[in-house]
Amino acid sequence: MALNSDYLQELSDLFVADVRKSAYYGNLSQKQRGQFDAQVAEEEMRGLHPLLPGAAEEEVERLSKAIREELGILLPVAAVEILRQVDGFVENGLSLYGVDPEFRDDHFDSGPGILAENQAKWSAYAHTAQRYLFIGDSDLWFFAIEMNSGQPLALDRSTLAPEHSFKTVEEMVNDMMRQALGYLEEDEEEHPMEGPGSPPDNFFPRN
Amino acid sequence: MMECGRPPSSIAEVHVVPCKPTRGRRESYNCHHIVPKSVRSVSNTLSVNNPANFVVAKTTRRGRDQSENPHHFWHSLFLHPQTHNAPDQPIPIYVVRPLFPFYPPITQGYKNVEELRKKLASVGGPPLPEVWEKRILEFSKASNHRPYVVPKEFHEITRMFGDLFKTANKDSAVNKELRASLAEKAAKLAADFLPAGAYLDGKQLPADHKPKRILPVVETNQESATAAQKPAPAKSRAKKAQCQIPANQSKPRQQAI
Repeated sequence: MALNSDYLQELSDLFVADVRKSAYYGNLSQKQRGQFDAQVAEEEMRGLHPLLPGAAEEEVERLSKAIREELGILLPVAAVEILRQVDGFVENGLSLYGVDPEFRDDHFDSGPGILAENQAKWSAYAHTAQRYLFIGDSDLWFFAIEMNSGQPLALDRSTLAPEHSFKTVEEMVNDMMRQALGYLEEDEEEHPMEGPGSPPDNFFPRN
Repeated sequence: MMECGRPPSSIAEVHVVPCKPTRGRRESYNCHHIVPKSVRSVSNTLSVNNPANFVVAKTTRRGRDQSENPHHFWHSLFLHPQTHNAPDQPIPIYVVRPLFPFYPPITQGYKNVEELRKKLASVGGPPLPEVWEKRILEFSKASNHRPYVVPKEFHEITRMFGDLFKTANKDSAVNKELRASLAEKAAKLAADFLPAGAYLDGKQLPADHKPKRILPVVETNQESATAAQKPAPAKSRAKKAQCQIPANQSKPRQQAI
């Protein structure tokens, strides 16, 4: 299942616009600015999302191998599918983890990596965290896949209690992108956890 | 930037390599409200601005009706009118320091620990450490067990702030109009709280301005602050330098916790 292309496009447009009005861009030489603009235009022509690329196949393979060796788990197929479409982003206090920089050819660090984030969380919450593969976070939530069931879940950031479940990982990442884009309305179906564990009025705050 | 409908972020680096996708690294920030447990110096050595005195408030709510959202309330009443049309020069900015622990989901006072535990269980909250229970009960007592509420007269501007983020209002012309309308309305209300010298919707409150309600103001550049400082005429400082006002308080009545 594909991620919502409108959200991907909107995030990409936002990131490109941010670069163009940034001090970083202003300090580039004319030649460097030209290279950036040309490459963005070319990626747009090819139907890609500039500054929001998917991971390359060999990068995913290196990450999968490292996760198997260092965490002792298999990288779920659903997570691989997400990485192929969007290799992480950081916006609006929300992070989707991507391929760790050491598994890229150029070692470029574009944001938090899946392996490093899971190593940190697994050691910090040894008793509960190892049930989950963490794929992102926000101020209030961890976004994870339960390893046994494959269930995508939003976990309370302070207690790791499951607070919200999603039908698919794509649905969860779409929700993450909505939060990143600052959509406050609830116009998508949600699936609060049943029974205790569902505070009624402060789910998924979006700013 | 929250007033523009988006939290701030900055570009740290962009990586452009031929035949490889363009990548960037960005620093992103969210809108946190940092809450002091007390505006009174806890000890002679601990400033009110000491990190140990702070907690991060989860001040947002989900749902269509945002008129009672304390986070939006603080933005709409104080931050939006001060930053909208702000002059391009250093000005004082008064920001809110909401009081611990009245933020969602704990927005009410509790008379005893059983009440508190029952409420937390009903919303699926985890049990709190005893020391936190004690703090909440002490704070409840100090505030006469009153719940945190957004006063009715501010519901309209609070809802208007939430409306800035609606999909239907994302169009920049529409959003600009809404921000202007909110700033105009909120500026009149904010003038009841802010001291002379504060900027509201681009205009400075005159030297003889007397706010109807006196709020304790904590100067951020002070090493050690006290609870009951009357708002003094703010000195011009860089925009980032901020004066801070505990939220929803007509007079200082906090106790050190």
